[in-house]
Amino acid sequence: MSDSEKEAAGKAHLGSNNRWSDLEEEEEGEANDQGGIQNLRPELVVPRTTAASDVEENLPLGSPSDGSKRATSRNRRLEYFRSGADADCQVHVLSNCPQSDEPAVSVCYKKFGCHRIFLATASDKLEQDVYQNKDWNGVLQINGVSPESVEIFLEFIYTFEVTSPLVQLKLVGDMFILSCAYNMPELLRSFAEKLKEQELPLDGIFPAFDLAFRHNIIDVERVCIEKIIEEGASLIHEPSLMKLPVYALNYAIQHWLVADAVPPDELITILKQYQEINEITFANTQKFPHFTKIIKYFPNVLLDAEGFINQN
Amino acid sequence: MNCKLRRLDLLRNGQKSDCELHVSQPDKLKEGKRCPCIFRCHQVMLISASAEFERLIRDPEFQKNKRVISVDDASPTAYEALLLYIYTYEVCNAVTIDMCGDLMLLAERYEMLDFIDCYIDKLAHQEWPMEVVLQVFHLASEHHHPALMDLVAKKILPVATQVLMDNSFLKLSVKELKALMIILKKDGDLSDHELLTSLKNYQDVNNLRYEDMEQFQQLVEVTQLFGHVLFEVDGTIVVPEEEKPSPEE
Repeated sequence: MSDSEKEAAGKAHLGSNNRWSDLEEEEEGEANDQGGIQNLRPELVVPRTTAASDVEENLPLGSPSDGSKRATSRNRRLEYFRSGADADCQVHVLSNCPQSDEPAVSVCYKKFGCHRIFLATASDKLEQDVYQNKDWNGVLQINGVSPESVEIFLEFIYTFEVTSPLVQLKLVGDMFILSCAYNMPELLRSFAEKLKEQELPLDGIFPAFDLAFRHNIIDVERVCIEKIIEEGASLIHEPSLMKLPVYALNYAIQHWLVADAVPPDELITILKQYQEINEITFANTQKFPHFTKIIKYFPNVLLDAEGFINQN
Repeated sequence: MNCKLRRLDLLRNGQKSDCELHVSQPDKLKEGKRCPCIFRCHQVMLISASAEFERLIRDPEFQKNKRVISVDDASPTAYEALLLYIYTYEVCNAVTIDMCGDLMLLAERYEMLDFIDCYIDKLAHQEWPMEVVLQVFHLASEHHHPALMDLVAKKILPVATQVLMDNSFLKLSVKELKALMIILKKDGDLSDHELLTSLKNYQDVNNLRYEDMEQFQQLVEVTQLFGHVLFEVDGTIVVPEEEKPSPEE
């Protein structure tokens, strides 16, 4: 577990280059003179609205969220972040270029205007990055994760809530990386709570469950297992079920049995398919013993000479 | 949450502070003199939470006053609770019912309705002294706050009998009296006879008769909650004699 976490942390952040050291010295001078908000450098470019506000603006008329929002401090802070007002730094994330066929354009960044004081109070690592980094150039670059996940991450830093309409199951891997890299387990917990409120795409449940299971992301695991039980009848036909590791499959099968969500005969059929696709036979000396732990849930199941389930 | 603790530390130790909030309150020992309570704050925290703070900070006076915001409309304790919420979105457990008026004032001034919602959640888990129930009832009515009124309704019911005995009940406005009667009648724990008796007592103590026809008319509206109520010639409510149990019972 610790190795994968280190890998995640390594992927998530790159330090600034030394070539910015001259600019850094210049900025230090400016910082000493700053008397407050009104003295912020006017050359800072205000970034365009975030994807979340675009999504919200496109909501159809008559939807429950239509009309003015309540005058709450959380809503205001969210809008403040999205507008980039008074920003004193930026967070950059690699993004897909809109015109991918043009050879001239090689790299695109999604840019978020931010405030150092908010970033610094989110975690020790962020404080180091934005206040104690001698190579600091006003830009925090985050690599290895999607722009959407960084936006959710930043909104959480500002409001301690995950409320973004961008939340979706496929982002769980990126959220896990950010959560580990910056030591913010609360982020994953809030993300999982938000997932619970959603209709999850069936094809995304097992991959997310697998990830959560392997990394012991209990909150996401719990959300997924609830859906696995609830949607058992549909999920047994999902191709991604066949790609689960034996341990995760074991867990899913147990829950289906205990909850009576899927008839035992159908579960045996699933096990046969899983066995054939993943070639788990007597010859597979590593996986087969673990697989038999699942078979034992079903009395009267016999195996043929190669170890395949012989379903009567 | 580790994030919240870090932000709480920021508020407590004033690190990287770029402005101050001075809250004045008359010192009881030295009448007239003011002792400001000083909070070291961060402009982006305040601006991002409240339009009113943005207005105060953008005002040229702010820079002239060496980045100090001075206020005197609520207690330092109330402002501390407000700042704690601005930084952490939490209401401290030490926040009491006594602060209800100040906190509602601040929530409205700074347009932070979620602050009062969070406070009400805290109140819901506290034991309310009986004399406080009517006090908060008054505040909920004054500020037209449905959530707080709902909470008051829950808190009133267990102590309904005591409420009607309490002197502060007699000081309610007629409008508040009506709201209270609606709550108590809906619950059904107290009989109409008991409610009408307390209503008559209220009328006697406040001398609500023909001298103030407007008030009297409002009182009549309250009595209409109880069906056909009769009045003496001078306007006094007639409480029907309590029905005796029938011999069969």
